[in-house]
Amino acid sequence: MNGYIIVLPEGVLSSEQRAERISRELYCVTAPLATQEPYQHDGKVFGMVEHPDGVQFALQVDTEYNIPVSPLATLERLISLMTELTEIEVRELSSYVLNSQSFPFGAIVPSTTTVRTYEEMVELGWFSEEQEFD
Amino acid sequence: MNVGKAVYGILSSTSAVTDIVSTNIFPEIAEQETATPFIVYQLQGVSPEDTHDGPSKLDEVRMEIICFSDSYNGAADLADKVRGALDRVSGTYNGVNVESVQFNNVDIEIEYDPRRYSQVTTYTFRIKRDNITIAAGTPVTGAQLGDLSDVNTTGVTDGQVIAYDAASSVWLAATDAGGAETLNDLTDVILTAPLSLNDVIVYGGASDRFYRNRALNINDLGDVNTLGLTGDSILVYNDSGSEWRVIANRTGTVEDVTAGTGLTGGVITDTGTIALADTAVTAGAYTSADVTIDAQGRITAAANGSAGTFFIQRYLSQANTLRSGATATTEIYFTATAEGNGLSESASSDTPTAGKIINRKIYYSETAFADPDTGTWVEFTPAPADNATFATVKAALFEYLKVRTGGTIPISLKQTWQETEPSTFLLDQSYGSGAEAAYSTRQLRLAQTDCMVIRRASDSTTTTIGFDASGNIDEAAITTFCTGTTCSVQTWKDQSGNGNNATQATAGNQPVIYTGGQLVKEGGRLALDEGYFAISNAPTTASPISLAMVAVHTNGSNKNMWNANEQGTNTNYFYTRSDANNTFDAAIYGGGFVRSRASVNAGQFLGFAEFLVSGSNVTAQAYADGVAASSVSTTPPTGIDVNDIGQFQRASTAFYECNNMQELVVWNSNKSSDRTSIEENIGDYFTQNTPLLDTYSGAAAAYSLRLLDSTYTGSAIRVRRSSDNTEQDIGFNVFSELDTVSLTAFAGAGDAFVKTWYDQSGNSNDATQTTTANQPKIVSSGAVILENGKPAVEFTSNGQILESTSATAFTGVIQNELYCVASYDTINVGNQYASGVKIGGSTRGVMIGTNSSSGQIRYHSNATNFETAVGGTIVAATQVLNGGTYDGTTRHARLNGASVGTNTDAGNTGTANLYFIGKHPNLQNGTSKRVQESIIYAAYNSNESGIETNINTFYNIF
Repeated sequence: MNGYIIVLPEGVLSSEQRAERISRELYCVTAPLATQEPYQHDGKVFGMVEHPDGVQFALQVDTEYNIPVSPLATLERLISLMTELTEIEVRELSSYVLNSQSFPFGAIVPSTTTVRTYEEMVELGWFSEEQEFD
Repeated sequence: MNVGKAVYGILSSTSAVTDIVSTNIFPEIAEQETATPFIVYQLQGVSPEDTHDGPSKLDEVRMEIICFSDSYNGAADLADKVRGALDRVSGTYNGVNVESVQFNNVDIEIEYDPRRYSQVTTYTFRIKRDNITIAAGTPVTGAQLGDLSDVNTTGVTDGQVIAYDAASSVWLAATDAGGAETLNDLTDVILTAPLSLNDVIVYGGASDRFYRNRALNINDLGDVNTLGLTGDSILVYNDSGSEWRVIANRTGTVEDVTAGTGLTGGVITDTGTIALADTAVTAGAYTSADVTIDAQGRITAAANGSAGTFFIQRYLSQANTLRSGATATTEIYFTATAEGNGLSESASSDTPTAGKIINRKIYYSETAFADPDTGTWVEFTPAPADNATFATVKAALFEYLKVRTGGTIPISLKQTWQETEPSTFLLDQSYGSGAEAAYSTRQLRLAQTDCMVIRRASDSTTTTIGFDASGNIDEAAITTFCTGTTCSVQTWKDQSGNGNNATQATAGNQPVIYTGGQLVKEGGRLALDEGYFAISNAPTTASPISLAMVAVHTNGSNKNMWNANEQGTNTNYFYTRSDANNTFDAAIYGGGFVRSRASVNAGQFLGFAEFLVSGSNVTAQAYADGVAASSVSTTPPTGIDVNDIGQFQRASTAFYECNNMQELVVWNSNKSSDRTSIEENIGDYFTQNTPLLDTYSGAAAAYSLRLLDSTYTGSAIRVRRSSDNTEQDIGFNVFSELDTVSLTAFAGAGDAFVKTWYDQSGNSNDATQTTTANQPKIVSSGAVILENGKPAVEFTSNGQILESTSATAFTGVIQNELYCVASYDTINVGNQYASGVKIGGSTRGVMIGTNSSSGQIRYHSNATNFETAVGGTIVAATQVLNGGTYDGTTRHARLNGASVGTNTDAGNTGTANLYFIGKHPNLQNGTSKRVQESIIYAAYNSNESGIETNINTFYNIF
């Protein structure tokens, strides 16, 4: 499923910074930092969209997007960014991910997180819907 | 006694004293009624220091200096100033040489009426008596020069003189000997620095003095007389006058002599010899000499000529008529009878036109006056080499004449000239020459006329098929012969010239080339379907072996395509195979087979194999599409003669060699150093890819999985593999198509996604996606994604997109041409744009795709409105060639080479932002689609027909 996850600011991180880091850490699950070539230093998995207010950001996600897991992957940094996860979810997530060769992104979305459709984002004022005329 | 003069001199010159008393300083007694304050000095006594041999030279004089004032303090202050002026002074004052002054005592006195106070001070003056007055007639002994008051001999050295120093009014020891030591010390010599070597001094100038380096004239010399001097004069010595005299107006003087052409000895400026230079001619006598004469008329080369060949030219006019009247360009015509001969010549150019070659041919006829066109002529073989000169070929012709004129006449000879296109055929090239056997569906040698013998199934009739004018197999002849039936190849002609034709007598085993009303083709070229051959006349020596072939690989299938058996056996000890492991193998038998395996993908491939012998060992090396595999080596079993291999023969009924084979060339030599050139020659022909931008240049952006410009040296795409996000550039193979072997080797068993689709236009508008989830896929589970047999980039419905950061060369342009090869998995679900240019900040642009609800092609070409051209019918999941053109007036939506809809609404394109592939950046995620090529021009050049033909030739879309 394609959709959007609105990322709230957390601690010192703005919405944009947090969304960007989550996307970055997802990339590092496949290519851990220690193994990265210079061209991988900016790699991210998902893109972001910006609310017209310039403050809120959302990740544009595909819940079926498959993320391979490197044998050298660690999840601490990713989990620290996903504060919505409960302790139980953290344990289950870590176990699941680190024991998998790959996983769909949807499998690690916190239970309290909503993946919104484009239409819902339009209703929430994220997009000014512009359609082509025939 | 002059001490008083010294006292007065000191006190009157001391301002501290004169500030109090002015000039009221009196010897012995003050003037009457002098107002206080004032000073009186009085001599008290003298103590001379007499010597034994003369008067005292130092007197000690006691003086009283009395300081008067009306007040006690005033007297004291004045006495204090006086003491300050006198105490411990030394020097000459008023001509008195005071060695020292010593203060002795002071007393206070008071006078009454009027009351005055005086301080009476006493001093001892030591007076040097240097200027003593010597009584006349009194001998002076013991006195020295330095004793004189105006003489200072301090530091005087041996031989030194004294000189008067006006500044100090004293005679001092001089700094030199006191006389003139250098010329410049003389008053009538002026030598200004710096002096230099060989300076002279001359007399003259101002003040009658000698000067350095005064400009001299030759006339200054005493033996030179310049009377009558004019321009161009020279001096000649006159004995009688003993002087040099002027000889005027001597013009045109020879300064030097240079040797000219053919002379040696120059340049001569004084005396010398100029001689004739030797030429290349050896001195001696020559017979029937052939000579070369230069512009100066000298013989520069000479050689003995050809005695015995001579022409009496009895039939010159006839020879001229026959030569000039010939249809072919005839440079030489010669005819001879018992009565005489005639030779006509007219040399053509020895320099071929660019891109062409000159072919000269020579013939003879056993008939006099043989007509050049209709006579019976025999061509000399071998023919002269390409581009052989007129003189070279003429020499060969006349060499023959020399032989024949020994007795056989009459005779006619002719030499012809023609210019032809150079052969591009593989075996005519130096790198491809020397093949032992060569089979192809194209012409491999200019001299080759036959390609194959085919048999039609309907009546088993056979016919020989040749080539068309472009060197392709004559497909029209095959179609004509085979229409309504099936045709197979009975004999595949060996084009090497060695006669190693490949034959298959059994009809059921013959490869099919025509069936179902169509030619069997691969990549647009005729191919031989399954079947196999044997060589009836196998080569006898074949070590080493190099081999090139074009065929098709089928995944999971073994296809032995060339077997090399030992002579007389049916066992294949060397073979090449399209292997079920998806490799092209070069294998050797060594008690078991060892294989060099180069990876291949399904479809057409170019295999190259080398079997090199070293002692009893054989090394095999396989290449697929130019990529090398690891080599292998082994020793064949004892008894196998590795120099006795080379048959092209099927060994087992389990395998069929011709799996859509199109070419097989075998060299009994090591072609390692020529391999790349051979592969390029083969690849250029079989790729069917004429780089589009070579002909239709000027694209604003050009993205493709094939090479679009022969000068482009970059990669096609940059891919990221799913397993570890590692990235790699992927280029093109020898067919100028995407190097899928490298791509799949990099991707492994996983997926690979396109991060960058490189722009081949030269404008660096590379289309990129850094977010991995938005990168389109090109390898899925280890297999390259294909569309109609060619690699394709797959954009899913999840919003994958590649976009450039700018749209260079598209700013402000109204006209445009767009082309895109794509396949849309779903239609009628909204406007889906496969590629284009985003313009403005909204969903506008110049772009092509499918229409929202009608499944038609949609061409959008406006920045401010949605003026579109729509038409045609797109079938889901079917490869199409989308196109759109706008000439500034009419928009055309184009589908598979034809205009399918127009629109003439006005509108401008405005300023472009970026190029995109997959979807418009501002529109929602589209349906899944595959894109193989996107070319965008920022101008309309009326080239749509040619461009679409080029694209379709490669992709075979419609």
